[in-house]
Parts: sequence; structure tokens; C-alpha cells
Amino acid sequence: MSNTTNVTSMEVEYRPDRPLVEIWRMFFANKAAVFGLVLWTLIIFTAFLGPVIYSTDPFDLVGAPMEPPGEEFLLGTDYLGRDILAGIIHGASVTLAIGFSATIFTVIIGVTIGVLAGYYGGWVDTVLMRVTEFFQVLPALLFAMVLVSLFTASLYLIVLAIAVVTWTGIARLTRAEFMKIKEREFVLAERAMGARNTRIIWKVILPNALPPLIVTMALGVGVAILFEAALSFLGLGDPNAYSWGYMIGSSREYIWDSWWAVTFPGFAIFLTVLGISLIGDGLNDALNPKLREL
Amino acid sequence: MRQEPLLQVKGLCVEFATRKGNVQVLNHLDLHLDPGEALGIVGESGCGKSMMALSIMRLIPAPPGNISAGQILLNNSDLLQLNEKQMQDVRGNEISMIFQEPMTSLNPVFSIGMQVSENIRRHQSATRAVAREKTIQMLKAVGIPVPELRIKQYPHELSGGMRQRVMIAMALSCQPSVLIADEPTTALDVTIQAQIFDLLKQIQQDMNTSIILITHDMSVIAEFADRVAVMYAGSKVEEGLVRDIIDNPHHPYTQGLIRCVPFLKKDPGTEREELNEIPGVVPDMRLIGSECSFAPRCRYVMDHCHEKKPPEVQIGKKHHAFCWYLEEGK
Amino acid sequence: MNSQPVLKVENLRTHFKLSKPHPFAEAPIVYALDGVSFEIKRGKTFGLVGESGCGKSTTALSVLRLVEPTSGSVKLKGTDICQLTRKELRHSRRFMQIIFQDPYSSMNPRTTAGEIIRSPLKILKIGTPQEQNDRVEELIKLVGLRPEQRNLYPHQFSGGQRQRICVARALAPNPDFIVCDEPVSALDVAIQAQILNLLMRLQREFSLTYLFISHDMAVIQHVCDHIAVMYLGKIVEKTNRRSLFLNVKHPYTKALLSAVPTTDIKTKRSSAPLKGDVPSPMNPPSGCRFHTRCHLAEACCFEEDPRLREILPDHWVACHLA
Repeated sequence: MSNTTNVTSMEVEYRPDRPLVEIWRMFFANKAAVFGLVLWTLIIFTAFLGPVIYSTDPFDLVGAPMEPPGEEFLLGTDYLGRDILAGIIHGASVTLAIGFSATIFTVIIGVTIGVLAGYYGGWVDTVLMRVTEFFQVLPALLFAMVLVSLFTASLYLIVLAIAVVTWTGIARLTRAEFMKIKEREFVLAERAMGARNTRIIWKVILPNALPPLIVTMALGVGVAILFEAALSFLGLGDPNAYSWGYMIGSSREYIWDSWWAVTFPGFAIFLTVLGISLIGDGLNDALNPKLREL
Repeated sequence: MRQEPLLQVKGLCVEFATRKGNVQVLNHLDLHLDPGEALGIVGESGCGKSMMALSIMRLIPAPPGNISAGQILLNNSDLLQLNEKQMQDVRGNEISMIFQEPMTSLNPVFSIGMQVSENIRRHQSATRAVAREKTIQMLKAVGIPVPELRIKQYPHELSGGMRQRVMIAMALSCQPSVLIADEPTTALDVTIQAQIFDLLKQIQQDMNTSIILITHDMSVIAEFADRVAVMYAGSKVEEGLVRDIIDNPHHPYTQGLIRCVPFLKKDPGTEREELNEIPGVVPDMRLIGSECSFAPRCRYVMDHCHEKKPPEVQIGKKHHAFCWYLEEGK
Repeated sequence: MNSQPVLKVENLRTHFKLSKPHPFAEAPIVYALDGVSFEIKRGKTFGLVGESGCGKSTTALSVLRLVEPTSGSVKLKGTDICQLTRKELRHSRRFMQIIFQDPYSSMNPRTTAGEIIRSPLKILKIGTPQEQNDRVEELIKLVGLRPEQRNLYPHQFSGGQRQRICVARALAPNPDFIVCDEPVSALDVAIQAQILNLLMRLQREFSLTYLFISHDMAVIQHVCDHIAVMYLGKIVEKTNRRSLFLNVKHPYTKALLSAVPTTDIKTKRSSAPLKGDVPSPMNPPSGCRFHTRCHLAEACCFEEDPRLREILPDHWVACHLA
């Protein structure tokens, strides 16, 4: 009876669980999320292959101004006679690039500040959180406008401006997750094994904090795209980059005469943001281990 | 003089639907509770003892849970036939339950007085003042000093023992005939545990409340219960008076449960001894078929243990077990 | 006994400062651990027992400097842990390990059992990856798990198996000294015996030294060679196993003993031995800290704090009336 290594035959025979497979399974069970993924596949396909297939330069004046959608121009032309379809196709890559790069910047700033504040606490937390609050109370769009109009508008500056006004959410979320997880016993166990702070932060706590961060990042892409659209609409976009926002912005004065010039890029933005939101929601459910258990 | 049991569980089956198929967490369970009696349910985690309590309260999360067969008779009326609204009148009024962790079962944003009197007002159409009086009375009855002041306090301001007393006060505020206590002292210190059991015993006597005590610790059962049912993997394996079971356990699992409790000796000697243990782990409920579920861990295991469910073997008056080995030895 | 103690704790104090209720107030201080001394010889188990809030877990964490002690010394094989720099402390972690109460929450849920057991080797840079791998394999077998289970995640194990993983993890760097902080309190009684036997077997095999913390007198009696009973941050009684149960002196120890539920029906106790709760360690009672709950308390108990005296050979008690 003293033999503790006795293992019974009825014991649970688990196959090693592959978490990624489980997450995909949950994700694909969610119809809305799959719809979002399909949308995004189409959009990314358009961004990469669209310009090759439909090579008309969006800046070229290819037709009569304000040509309604029809045989010659599927989605019509704008007030200068530029092809709207070409704009949508070529603008996809610009819009996506802005969305992703702004999100990357947002994450870099937000996660760094959130990690420092949440992990170290004390005065570090106090100082960083006051800074975060300062940025939070600023009217985001107005602040971004100021930043962009102080310098010459370029794609880089717009990306940076978006990151500067949107990082606070990620920072607060990261901080909250870190504060919660660092109190868990396995972090104490790591310290008891002699782990350094860097290991605890990046290899122990961060992986456990990732699920909500991934969801927020996904939604952040949507927010960045909307931000760029808003800036462009107000005439503060990069005039050399043909983004969807720029299309809306440049045609806004002619909205009553050529509704198509504004509506189609608007619809493109809508579908893109909708898609990423659905993906984000799907990920939120899929990454929640409680829902995954049964 | 055979008394009519207060609560009877007959052939209760509970299933849980999981992705990997249906799991039978309770398997044709029979139990009965007499008026004024303290019945202990003992078993390892995952044996279905908490599921049994939740089934009686009709609090099984459904789906994925489902009571697939059986009856739960309270004073001869079947609780499983009641609709949710009627059941709400039973819960807290005729059957109450207290849980393991008193901190998480109390709502942190309301004062304890508010929570206890709320319960009274819900089940008995009492005015606010009457309910407050009753609350103070109840808190006093469970041994909370200066209840007039305490009712204004919030759960986090109380110690673990005090919180469990509040939970008991709340559970008893409508004089239920049955109190189900699911591991009520596991989160508490031993000296506080002793206080809580004293309180429960006193309640059992003064109010003639029947108590079902659920625990994994045989010594707690010995301390508190009159009768005990030992559960393993969703089935009852032995049942009898506490004295009979402790002094004369028949089922190999019960024997193991009793022997593995490290008991305090007056003179422990200078050398340490190895404890008795039940080897192995609780089986996966999904894999239990038509065999004795304890067979893989049993040291008396025989061939037909793996083939058929063990039969009921009567050992004494009010004492029976389910085991092939005992059947053979008769 | 002539052998040097593996661990020698002297006059260890850990006080926590809480945040001030308002800017001009004194910061309230929790006297979690207030002057504790003991030593443990190689291959022995020293038990700390007491109710929650008595400072036993603070002792566990302070001894390993997982919380910073306020004063006192902790000598592990002659080196004072409290004097080490952070870097030296990290290196000395390979000699001292800890097993926590709740095995599930003390493991990173996103890593497999194998990675968990390997983590101390990785952190302390012990051995090549191949050697680490072999060591994990060896440890898994040693604690009674199957080799293929190393690829499973913590939630796929039962409570007892999880604690086995934690034991393997603590054992990985070949430590001399392991703190067992309530290692079986979160487990079913039926599983407790398995883990306790495992711990005792490993102790014999590797002559490990344990600081064993528990609130359960019966468990303490089974596994410990020396035992100290703690109350509100102080040791009230300290002796070897036999003497504690044969010649129990302190009224608190007596109360703890009689509160233990037992399957022995003949010795059923009459009523709860102690009234009331443990007082707050923020504002401990004057004099003997136990006097508020002691039925023997006399005038001197209210005023003077009793010192730990040796009233029998190797049997120390802090009580005026013993």
C-alpha cells in the first residue's frame, strides 16, 4: 500500500491539449466571427492583389467628372473624374497599413506603460497613471488634429498622432491585468525559484494577460482606421496617400451631386471596421478558457 | 416506530452534457432524511456530493446539467414537479443551503442586516421593522455579539467565522425544515470549526432542523452527524449510523477513507509512521460503465467487479453497502 | 545532536506598514511576525502550527525572503539570507524551495507540467537542455506521475497530481531545504495521505530538511520532528513531537488539540474549546497575546508578555502559568 506510484487504469486518458486548435474550433463555431474573417480575407486580398488586377491609378483623371456608377465606371467617378473603384482598391492597402501600424505603435506605448505601472506599482504607477489620465482627458480627435496641423501632414505623422491619442486604453487594460495576475501565487512561485523581473513580466505574466489584449488590439485596428478617415475627412490627411478617408474628405463638398463618391469608400470603411469588430468579439469568446472548458 | 422521512431522494440520476459526451454525475442515488436528523455525506471531490445538494435545491445549471430520472420528495411532494416559481418558495423557506466560502456567498455591497432581513421579507410578508427585529434575533441566535451594531456592517468587516454565522442566520431565518451545509467549515480554522459545529448542533436541537452535512473529511462526520452515506463516483457505496460505519466499515472505500485520516495520538512516539492511503485517483466519470467504479483502486477486487454493478448488501439494521466482495463473503 | 542546523532562524520580525488612512496619520503596522527563533537539523521536519493570522505563512515567506523581514537573521547552512544582495539571493534559491498550499494557483496555467518542473532549472541555469530534460523525466517518475503526462496542462490534472507536480518542481534544483506551506490543506483527506507519504519518502531518500506549515494538528503530528505552536506572530510553545503531545503545557495548544475532529467517537469533546476570534495583529493585546481568549488568564497575563522558557528538557513554553 505504500507504493504511491500506483496508477489506475481508469484514470483520465487525456491527449495533450493543443490550445491553438481549441481556440480555432471555438472561433469557427461563431458565425459572426467567421463572417468577419471572410470580410477581412477579401479586404486583404484586395489590398495585395487588387492593384495588380485593376491597375488604373486612382489619381489619374480617367473620365468625366461626377460620372454616376455605370457600365464604364462600375462605381462612378469623383468631381475630378477619378475612378472610384480604383480608389477603393488602391486605398485598401493604405487604409490597412494605417490601421495596423497605428495599432502597433499604440500597443508599444500602451503595453510598456501599462506593464511598468502595473508590475512595479508605487510611485511609478502613480506618475504613469497621472500621465495616462492627462492623455485621456484630452479630446482625442482635437488633439490629433493639432498634432497633424502643427507639422506637414504625412502618413507617418498621422499614424503617430493616432497612436498618441489612443494608447491609453491599452495601457489601462495592461496595467489592470498585470496588477491582477502579479498577485497570483504562480508569480510568487517564480520569484521563489529565483526568476528575474524581466522573465516574470514577459514570460509569465504577459502570456496570461494576452487574451484581453489581443481583443483590444483587434478593435484598435478599427479605431485607427476610423481615426484616419476622420482626419482625412477634415482635410488633414496625407494628400499623397490615396486612402478611403481621403476619398471621402475630398468629395465631401460634392456629396449632393455625386453621392457615390462618398458612399462607396464610406461603405468600405464600414465593412472593414465591422469585420475586425466581429473578429475581435469572436476572439474574445474563443480566448476565454471558461467558455472553452466544456 | 418507523417515522415518515422528511426528505427522500429516490433513484436520482443527473447528467451533464459535455463535448465529449454525456457524463452521469449521479447514478441512481437513494437517500432519506428523517426529521431532526443530521445526515452526513462524505466522499472525495468529484464524487457527486455537491451535485446531490444542488439537485435537491434544483440549482443544477441547466444546460449542461439535467436531472434525467428520479424523485426528490419533501414531505411526500415531488420537488422535481414544481415550476421555478414554486421552487423559489421552497428555497430558503423550507430548504436552505450554506456554502463553503462565506465571503463569496455574501453580497459585498449590502450590509449583513440588509441581506438577512431581505431574505425574511421575501418569504414572509413582514414589515421592515418586524424583519429587522427578527434579523437581530437570528444573529443573536447564531452567537454574533451585539447584533444591533453588527447589522450595519459589511461582509468584509467580519472574520471568516462570523461570516459563516451570518450565512447560517440567513439560511435559518425562515425556519427551514432542511438545512444543507456544503463543506461549511473547510475554509475555517479548527477552533472556529468547532464553534460552528456547536452552533449547528444547537440549532438542530432547538429548532428541530434536519441537517445534511457534506464533507470530504470522515472525522468531521464522526464529530457531527448521526447517520452517514459514503459516496464514490456518483453512487452511494455504504450507508449507516455513524457509529456503525466508523467502528465497523464494510465497503473497502469506506475503510480506506477512515484509515487515511491522520488521527491524533496521545503519545505519538519518537518515530514517524507512514499514513495509510487509498492509492490512485478518482476515476473519470466519462469512463464509468456498468462495473463497480471503485474496482481499479480496490484491494479486494474480483473478476465480476469489472462486469456488473455491485449489489446492495444488508449488514445490519440501517446499515448497508454495495460491494461484490461483501456479497461473496455473506 | 552535534550536526550543524541547516536552517537557523533568530529573532525574526516582519512588520507590514499599511497605507495611511489620511496624510497626517501614523501608518498602521501589522505585527505579522514578532520575534521568532528556531532551528532545523538536516533531514528533519520542523512544524509550525496555528490558526490563520498567527504568522505561520509570513514566517514561510520571510525565511525565503519572499517578503522582506524587518529584523532578525535566517541562516541557511551558515549564510545569512537576510544579508545577501539580490543577485546572491537569486543564486541561493537553488538550495531552498517552496511548495504552496494551492497547487493549481501556484502553477502558470499556460505551461505544461514538464515546463513547470523544468522552470527552476531554466531560471537558475542548471545543466544543458538535454540534462534538464532528463532531470524532468526522472522527477516525474519520482513523484509518481507517468512520463507522458509531462505534456499536459495543470487543469488536466486532479488536485493530488497537481501537488505532485509542485513537489517535483521544488525538488528539481536539488535543494537542501524546502518550505511546505500547508501542502495538503487544499486537498481531499483521502489524497492528503498520498502527498504526505510522498513528502516523507523523498525526505528520507534525499535527506531533505522541511519547514512544514499547517493548521492541522493531526497532520503536524504525523510528519514533524519538532513543532512550534504560533499565536499572533509569536511562538507560544516549542518542543519535539513526543513532548508536545505528551506534556502539552500552553492553554492555546491544549485548545487547538481538543478542537481537532476525530473519528474516535469515545473521545468526543463536549463543546468548542475556544470562544471568539483571533484578535487583529494590527493591534495585538497587551501582555500575553492570548489572554483575551484564555480561560486561565490572571492579572499578570494582562500586563507582562511571557517569555519563552524551557520548563522541561527541550520543551519551551511562553506562559506565566505553565
